[in-house]
Amino acid sequence: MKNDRKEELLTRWMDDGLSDEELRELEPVLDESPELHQERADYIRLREDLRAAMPAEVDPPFPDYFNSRLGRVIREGSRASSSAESPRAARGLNRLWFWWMVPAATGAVVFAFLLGMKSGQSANPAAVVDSAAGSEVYSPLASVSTEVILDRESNSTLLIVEGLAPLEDVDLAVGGGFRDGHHGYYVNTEKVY
Amino acid sequence: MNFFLHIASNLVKGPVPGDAGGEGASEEISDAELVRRCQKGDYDAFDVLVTRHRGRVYAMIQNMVKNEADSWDLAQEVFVKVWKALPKFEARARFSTWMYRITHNVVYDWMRKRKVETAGELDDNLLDRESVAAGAHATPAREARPDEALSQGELRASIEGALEKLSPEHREAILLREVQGLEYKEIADVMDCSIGTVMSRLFYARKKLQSLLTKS
Repeated sequence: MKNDRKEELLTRWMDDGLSDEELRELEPVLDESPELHQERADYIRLREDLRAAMPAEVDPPFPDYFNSRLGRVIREGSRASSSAESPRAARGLNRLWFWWMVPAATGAVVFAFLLGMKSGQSANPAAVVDSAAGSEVYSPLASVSTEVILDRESNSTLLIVEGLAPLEDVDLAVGGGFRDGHHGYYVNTEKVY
Repeated sequence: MNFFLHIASNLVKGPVPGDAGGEGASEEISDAELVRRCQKGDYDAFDVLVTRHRGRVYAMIQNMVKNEADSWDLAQEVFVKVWKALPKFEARARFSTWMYRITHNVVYDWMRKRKVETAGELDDNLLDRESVAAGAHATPAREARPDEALSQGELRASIEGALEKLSPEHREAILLREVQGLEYKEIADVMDCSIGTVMSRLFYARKKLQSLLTKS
């Protein structure tokens, strides 16, 4: 029997998929190598272990974000099909999502505090902030709520994240100074918690 | 004084896409019907398809790539390609088989690029046909069953380790057959090869897998 045929019959025999005629065709091979029966029994057990160890279905991390991001990419792609941004091109940014959430949220907590102080000093606090329509911050935790507020006067964006565990002051490096002609406060969000 | 704050990770996300179709209804609608709706431009139908199949796509990629972040990115890429190609999908194959085919292409493109970037670190020929003879016995001397001495966690690690030592083609054939449960013809369609090649890959991959686990 040719090797290819033998491989095919043995493979299907392992899967219990041979017809009676094919089984008769394979019998001489099995008679010649009776240890194949043990090998088959071992493989059937291995297959069970394999299926137990390797689930056929595993939801990706943050599955709802998976869908929402996919929708955004597809819509952006269809809007700008001529200069379509390929998914790979977006990968650099995309990769960051694993790491930016908590640091960005950390910065947001500090910013919220600082902006709160500033708003408290304003003669017209209501004029300071405005809802940031069209923006979204995704929180992977149901217990953490997020809100985005755009401060048009200062051209800055406030991220409010509620529900995070308290952070130590030493975890944050906050400084002040001028940047691009504007005075500002700087929060180090590089650290990953 | 302007109040200005600079956050290094300036990652305010863009607008949320439109509402997705409810997951509750997804079980009642066939893939074929959802595909038909997608082909008319119904993104909500596509969202249901994504929700239904993302777990299998992600698991398949994760088992091939072994990196969570890359798997996530690649799974996204698969579904972007699925959406773009849906207008041309003619339903000659099952949607899931066609989707696995796209997954296969995305993963192999990634592997090829990675191979170039890492100057051959990834070796497609970890196992060639000659390294396991057709008549070789995967269990040369019957000792203890591989799983007899192993706990479930150890067994999983052992199986994952053995799978990683297979060539990508052999690993994929095993995963598609044993884990995803595809028929030989479907595997051939996904891997763009003949059924005979699928049989051969399964034959050698199984032998190698048994051999590796017996040794471990």
